[in-house]
Amino acid sequence: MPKQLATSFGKLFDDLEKIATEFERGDIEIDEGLKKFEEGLAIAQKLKTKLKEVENKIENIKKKFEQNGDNA
Amino acid sequence: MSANKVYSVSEFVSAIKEYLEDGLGNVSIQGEVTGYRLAQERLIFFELKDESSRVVCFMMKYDLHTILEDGMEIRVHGNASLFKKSGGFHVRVREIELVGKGALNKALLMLKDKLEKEGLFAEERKRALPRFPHIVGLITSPDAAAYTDVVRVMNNRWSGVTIQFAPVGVQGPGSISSIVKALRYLSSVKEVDAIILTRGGGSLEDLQSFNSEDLARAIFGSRVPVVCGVGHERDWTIADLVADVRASTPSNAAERVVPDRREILFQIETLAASLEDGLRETIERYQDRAQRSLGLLETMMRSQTEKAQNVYQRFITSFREFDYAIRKKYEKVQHLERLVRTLSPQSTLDRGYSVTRKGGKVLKGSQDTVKGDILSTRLAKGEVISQVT
Repeated sequence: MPKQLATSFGKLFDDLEKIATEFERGDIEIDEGLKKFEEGLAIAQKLKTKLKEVENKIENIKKKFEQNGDNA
Repeated sequence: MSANKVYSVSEFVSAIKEYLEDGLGNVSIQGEVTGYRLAQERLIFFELKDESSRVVCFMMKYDLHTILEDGMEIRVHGNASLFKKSGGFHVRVREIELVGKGALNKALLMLKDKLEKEGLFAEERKRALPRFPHIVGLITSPDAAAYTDVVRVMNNRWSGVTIQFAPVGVQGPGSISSIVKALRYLSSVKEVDAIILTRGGGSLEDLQSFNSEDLARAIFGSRVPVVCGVGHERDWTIADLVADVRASTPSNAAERVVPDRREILFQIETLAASLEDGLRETIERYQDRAQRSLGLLETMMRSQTEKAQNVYQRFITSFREFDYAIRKKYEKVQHLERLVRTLSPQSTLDRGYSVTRKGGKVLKGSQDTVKGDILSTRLAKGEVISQVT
């Protein structure tokens, strides 16, 4: 399901940015920091893998929109 | 003569009407507008003329999607027909295209002005595109380079996107309504994140569909942000102005909708690096804090040691004072001892006196003695026992 992949890509990217921002603010505890650091690296790795994984898909919707338009 | 069929008038009109409509089918006619008028707010009448002929045209107002006035060169699409009541011949118009730069330009500027006043181009209503779209609607002609360009650029840049492709005619009769239908359909699909409406460049005439009021309103009413990319940068259309994002070309429209894989990869690397920096800084901050605590501890210890030394010093000082006081007392005692010694009976004895006792009591006069008493006399050195005679 490309939708799920793309959704989780956006979600993962947001998560990574959030962790980076927390570090930037500089008020993170050291234990928490280590945990977040590992989590962040794991997310970055997943994102990179995802970038290589999937391709774009084309669906022709000629019939769908023409029917829809006539009903409207 | 009576061999011919006898029609009633209405039968005859109907027959001709059918004959014209079925026999001739759809026609396109080009000419100049004259005698334009609007009746009952919904019926439009005008004549189309050239140098030698003219023909009556009739259409419904809802089929008119452009500005129309006398003197304009237009192309009408419709069919030949008769009015049932009067039997009058006319062209039943379904769609109008403006022809010639003058008419097109005039209509375009009037529409632009009208929609601008209504706020259809307002910057504040333009919506941002999602950063990582997953379903993108694409409305364009399947045969044009625009389609190939969009798909190629999207594949080059990004992956994991589903393109819902609505093939439409981008110019000519029927193009406006099919583009509007596609737009409405895509806008109604919940999962669609963005819609690309695109075509190659063209003359003002070619771009008419993209300059139509209907399309402008459909873009304005879209639930999903619309990216419009028409031909080359010098062309602008009403659709461009209403769209949430105006791309310069079909390729550019694709670029605006999906991110670049390499850029995102770079961003991921940068973010990961910033995590490393962040962690290092956190550790350094903790080291600093520990260092500070250690320093504080040292200062505290030092101050405690100083305090102890201080007490010791004070002790030493006060001990000296004490020692001195004792010495003083000792000297005084020694002095007193010497004094006492000079005043003691021994020193009187030493000078030659003696003490005589009778039965342990000091004898102070001879009257206290009787004959035979035993007396003891203490001298400076030694003692003498004697008997009274």
